[in-house]
Amino acid sequence: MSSSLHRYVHIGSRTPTNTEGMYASSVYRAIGIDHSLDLETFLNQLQLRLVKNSEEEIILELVGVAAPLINALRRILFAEVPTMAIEYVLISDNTSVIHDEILAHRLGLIPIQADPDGFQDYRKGEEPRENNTIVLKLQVECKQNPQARPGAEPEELYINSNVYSRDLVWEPLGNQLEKFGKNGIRPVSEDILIAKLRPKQRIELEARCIKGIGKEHAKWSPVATAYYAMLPQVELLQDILDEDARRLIQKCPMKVFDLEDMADKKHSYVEQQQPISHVIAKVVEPRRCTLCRECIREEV
Amino acid sequence: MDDEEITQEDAWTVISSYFEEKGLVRQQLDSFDEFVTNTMQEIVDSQPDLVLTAEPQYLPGQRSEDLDKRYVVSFGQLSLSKPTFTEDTGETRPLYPNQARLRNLTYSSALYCDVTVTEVNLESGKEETSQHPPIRVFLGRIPIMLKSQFCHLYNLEPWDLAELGECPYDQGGYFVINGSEKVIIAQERMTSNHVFVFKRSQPSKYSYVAECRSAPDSGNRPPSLLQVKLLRGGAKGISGQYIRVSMPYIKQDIPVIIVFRALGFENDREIMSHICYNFQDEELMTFLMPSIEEAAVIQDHLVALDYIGKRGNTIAVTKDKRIQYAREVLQKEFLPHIGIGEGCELKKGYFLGYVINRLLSTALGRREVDDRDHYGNKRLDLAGPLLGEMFRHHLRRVLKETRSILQRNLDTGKGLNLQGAVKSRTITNGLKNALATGNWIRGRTGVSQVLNRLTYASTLSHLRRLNSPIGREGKLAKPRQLHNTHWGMICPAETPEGQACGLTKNLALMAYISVGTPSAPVIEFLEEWSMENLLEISPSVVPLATKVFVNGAWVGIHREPEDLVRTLKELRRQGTIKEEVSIVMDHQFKELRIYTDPGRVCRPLFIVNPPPPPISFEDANEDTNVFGQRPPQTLAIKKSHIDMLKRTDGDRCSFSFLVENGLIEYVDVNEEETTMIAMNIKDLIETDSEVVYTHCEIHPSMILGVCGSIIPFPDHNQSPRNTYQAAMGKQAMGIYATNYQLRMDTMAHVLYYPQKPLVTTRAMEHLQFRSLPAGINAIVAIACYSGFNQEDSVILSQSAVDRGLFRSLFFRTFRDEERRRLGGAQETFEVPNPKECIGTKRGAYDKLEEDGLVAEGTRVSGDDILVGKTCPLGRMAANGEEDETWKAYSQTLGGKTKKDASTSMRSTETGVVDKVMLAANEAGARFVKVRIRSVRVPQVGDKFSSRHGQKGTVGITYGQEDLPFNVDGIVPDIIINPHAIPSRMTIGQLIECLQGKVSAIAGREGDATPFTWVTVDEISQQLKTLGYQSRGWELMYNGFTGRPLEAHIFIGPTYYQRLKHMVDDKIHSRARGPVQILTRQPVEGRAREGGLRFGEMERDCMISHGAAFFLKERLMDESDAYRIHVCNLCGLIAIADLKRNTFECRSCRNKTEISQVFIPYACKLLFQELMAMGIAPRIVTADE
Repeated sequence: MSSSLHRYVHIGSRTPTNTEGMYASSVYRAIGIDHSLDLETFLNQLQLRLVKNSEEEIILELVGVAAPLINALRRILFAEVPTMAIEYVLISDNTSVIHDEILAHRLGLIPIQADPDGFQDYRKGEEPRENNTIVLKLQVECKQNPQARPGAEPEELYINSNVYSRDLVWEPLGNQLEKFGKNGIRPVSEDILIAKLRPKQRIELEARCIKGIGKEHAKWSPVATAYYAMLPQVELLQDILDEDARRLIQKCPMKVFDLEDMADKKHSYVEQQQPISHVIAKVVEPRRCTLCRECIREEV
Repeated sequence: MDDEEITQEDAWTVISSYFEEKGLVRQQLDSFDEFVTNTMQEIVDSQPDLVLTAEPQYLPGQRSEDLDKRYVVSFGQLSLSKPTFTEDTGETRPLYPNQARLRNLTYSSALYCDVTVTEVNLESGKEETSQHPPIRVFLGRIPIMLKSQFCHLYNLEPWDLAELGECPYDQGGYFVINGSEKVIIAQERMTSNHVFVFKRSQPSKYSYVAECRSAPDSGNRPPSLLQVKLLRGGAKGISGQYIRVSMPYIKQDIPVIIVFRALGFENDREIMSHICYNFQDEELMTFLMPSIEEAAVIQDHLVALDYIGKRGNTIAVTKDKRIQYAREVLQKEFLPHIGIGEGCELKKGYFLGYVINRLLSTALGRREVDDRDHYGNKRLDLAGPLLGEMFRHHLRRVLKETRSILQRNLDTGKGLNLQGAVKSRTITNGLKNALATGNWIRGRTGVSQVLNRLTYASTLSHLRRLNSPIGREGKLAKPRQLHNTHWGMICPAETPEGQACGLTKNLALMAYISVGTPSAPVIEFLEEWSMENLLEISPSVVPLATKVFVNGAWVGIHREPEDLVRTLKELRRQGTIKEEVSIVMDHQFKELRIYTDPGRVCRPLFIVNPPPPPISFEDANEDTNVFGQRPPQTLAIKKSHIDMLKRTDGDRCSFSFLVENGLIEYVDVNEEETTMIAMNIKDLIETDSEVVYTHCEIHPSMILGVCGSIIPFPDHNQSPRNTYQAAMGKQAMGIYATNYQLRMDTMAHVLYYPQKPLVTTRAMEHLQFRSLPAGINAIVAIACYSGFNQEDSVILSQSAVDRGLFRSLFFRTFRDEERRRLGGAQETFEVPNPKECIGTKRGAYDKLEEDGLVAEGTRVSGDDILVGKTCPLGRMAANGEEDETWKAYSQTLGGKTKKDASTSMRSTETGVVDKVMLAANEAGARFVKVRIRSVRVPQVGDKFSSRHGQKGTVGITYGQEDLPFNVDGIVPDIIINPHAIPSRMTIGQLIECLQGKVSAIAGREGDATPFTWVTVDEISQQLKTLGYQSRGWELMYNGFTGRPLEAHIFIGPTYYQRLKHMVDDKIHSRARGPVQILTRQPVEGRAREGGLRFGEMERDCMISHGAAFFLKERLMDESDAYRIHVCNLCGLIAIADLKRNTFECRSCRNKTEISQVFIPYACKLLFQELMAMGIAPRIVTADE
């Protein structure tokens, strides 16, 4: 155990220990381990595997990176990567039940698909230009649906009873159309509900997106969440057999352990002459472990 | 199977049907309906007719022919319109509640009365009567309770209510008076007509006192108090244990025996028999000896009356008059509930005998002393009786006035003009003012209050509130304490802290208050069932039989009480006798008490069938039916009845069906004490003891009130925490009514994204807490993290706030009207022109439109003017021309002819004009309401609370990157400090969190109803099967360092409330600013930009520090320092002319020896006031 102190946070039966890590690279120099970091060795030790990379999710597996370092990356993702989001809403008509402020706030939270590299920061009072602003327009009016069956749901009874993010229309400024293409700028999701309307209610507005970072407002945060978990290593310090093994498996909510037949395994506690086959608990899926400690909690 | 037993789940169906039928403000509605349908007519009928004869006027040459006529004016049938309003144009239209609210009108109906005039002609010596056809006379306007039978909204469907601008969830039960919503708070009082025996402690002359507050059924007057006192024997100056009676209008206490003699019982033996009933009871008889001896001098009926008459309030001169006076007192003021005419003496004697018997039995230790705080001894006066009291009072005034007007009509020979004689303003204004101010007759205040509209739950709770007016200052703790008899009637959790603690109460959810039924049919019925009337029996048979009391009055005796009670109860369950009548059989003292009066608190219970006989030998078998064993008791209600409640077609049954069929009955506090109630349906089966149940609780969680029912797992909390939450739930923001955009409340908070709680109680369904919630399911971690959540503060996720967590809207309405000022000046809405206006304000006038009002959508802040209004200056002389002195004065105004009277924003607030409403008020004057809307984003200092009395302010907000996260990347919205838990023992919050976690993951609501069989282990097990640590702990990573936290963190969704207290409404500082005119000290209060008080305690601190100069700076230099000049010779204030630099003390003829001193202005003021009183305060200036 002591040899692994520098590498592991230990989750004992009482509390996680050794969570602090090291505050100097020389802490373990006495036992011949040097933690000083230089780029070359870091890059050599770094292993990166892309586990999943989809439109909405990316999962990486990294080996050889300390938690604080990857945490810095996490924090930057939240707070300092710029994106485009609606900041100014010029409302010319809003007869819906949603107040202007709430409507503007809802619009602001709609993720906008646009490359922020193509824009500069917008300074307050500045003229909205092609290089600092995206203009989106929304113009909807709710009407009675003449074809609707009486007593149907509002969605059928009325036209435009729900206003969605797809109703936002991009109005390219200057060279934006050539620069980003016809479909280059749009809300990331089409079906984000903005407001609900009833006949004769209408919303007409112009929304201006500007560049910003998550530190200022969460709407500019490019990620919903970003997180990591340290790789769990589950070690059974002694053999757990039969009934105990079954109980252990029962205890783990994440199914980290499994039973294994130990017909061919030899163990000092088990008398070989007994004909009954024994089972032993094995760690099969350590990565599933959430470190909940259910397995080592003493029963009350 | 038809007679299948029901389960606890089925009980919830019953509860649903109860609330579906009754709603939550039934007591208010029923009480008001009773008032309008019956009480009002009864009051009118009980008023004596006006009998008028013209008085001869002795005017020369005139002779009124009316002199021989007598007119009898009698008020008959009442009729009430639907609520209407008469515009100043004279047009009368139906008035709807929201109109009334918006236009500051009163929601009331016109009350008419058919008045008949009977003419009696005395001319020919014999009486000839001729009756005129009845005339419909306008009596006044009666405010109408919303959603009562007389309201436009009665029985309307939700969409119709929406059409009228009402919230379909609104329960009614309140009034709209001058546009503001008023609730009548139920008032608690002691029962009348009931005999109480109390012990008096040492310094008192008396050892025991029996009391009876007697009030006849139609309570015309305040109850008259009868006291029978037992003197403490052997004390100084008192020779024996005499018994004395004190009664109204008699100044001295009268020996009992004399009262008996005055009632016509001359014989000692007769008197004794009415007190003791049984002459074998020597102990009791001995107690009476001193009293009998005391009255030995007065043996005669008339002498006794004279004895009482002599001690009367008015000193009647002749003996005859004295006797007459005493007779009247005994008839009308002595125990009036038994009768107020002649011929009640025997009955009164029986009752007095009973009172004395009770007194002596208690003194002998045979009976317990009565409990003042027993809830069976309390009655609640609701809207009905309270309005009745008011209506009677004002009707009398009207009649008195009518009488004098009619008399004048007759005397002047004008003939009777009824329409003109009945002044409708008396009743209209009388009721309106009482409701508007809450001032009731006999000096009661706070009876009606402005309905709280902060949250839907607070509105509901306000409509179910009770108040006991006794002893708010009194330090006596007992009336404030929770009493056993409160069970199921009054919420054990919901009461304010501090002065009104335990005096202001709230009704439990299923409590119902009786409206009162006539007692005559019950008495009739009793007589049919062989009750023996007191007039027909001899006192000696009393101890052999059971005494029968109806509403406290002793009406007779009965020999087979068991049979009688059984029949009575059966008849009540059948519906022959009203369900709210209570039947109390007291076996110990052989008394049967029947109550039909209004104001008793009752609650419904399941009826349990009597126990089946033990299993006979024939039916016994080996496994289940053991010989001699008793099969379990069963409920009267069966599965088939539940199915009938659940039906969706036309044959669906309501709750009253269950009552009518004897499956459920209402039991009041007194009757409850004679029952045996099973707590759960299970208990009927599981019990193996010899307990025999008569009833079963519908569900024990119904003991809680509105605010108590919102708390999840209250049965796991320390009790004061539930009380704190009950108070805080009323300050939470949510959606207080769905029509909030159509209302113009002076202040309103609306939460952006309210959520229904993940963890709910069953009662919430009926409180509409799911539809109109007041909170958000926040992810709450209990952790020490950075220390910014110490001492009841919380850490809030800034990212979540950015995304809309706990954002809210705040509305404030300003109102103004074009008033006609004294002296005839008429105000006008317009943009005030600074060239012609004096007194313009500092705010911006440029936001006003041409009509003098701000436009909707305008951003306003600071002191911006919302409504521009001017009032012409000038004073008219009597001849209609401008007053001369005024003319002279107006020269100094520089041609300004108007005064600014605009309304401006609060200086500390900003917002957007949400709505501007222009209308005409009652008088037809132009009237405007401006509603300002602003967004309140949670920030450091705002107040939040869970549902367990755990409140806290925001200590810091952290972005998502700074917050701890778990293996799923989940970040808490709120982090509270673990130190908030152990000492407060709000285990309910922990269980709520755990249950919330299960609910959120599994996607279903969690049940947190108290007194059910949900256990923590069960919830933990569920959580574990969902793949989490069973107790809700998780390993979390520090958001700043990225390393795991050194403890597992308890995290899960907990329902949090945003409370109305926000820093932006409190933040205040001042360097210099406005001062009071009189003292020149800084003004008080944030709204006036006032100073911060450096009070006594702060002053004491400075003194003990020895910081004298600092103290002087705070108290004088920074407050009201003032320079005066003092004559060195006399020490009085000298005349100073600072321009010419000359100083003088006239009395000393001193122009040189003057000192300049600085004193507080308040001190200078004091000196001047002293001088005005002839005291010369001198400031002696020594030159050293």
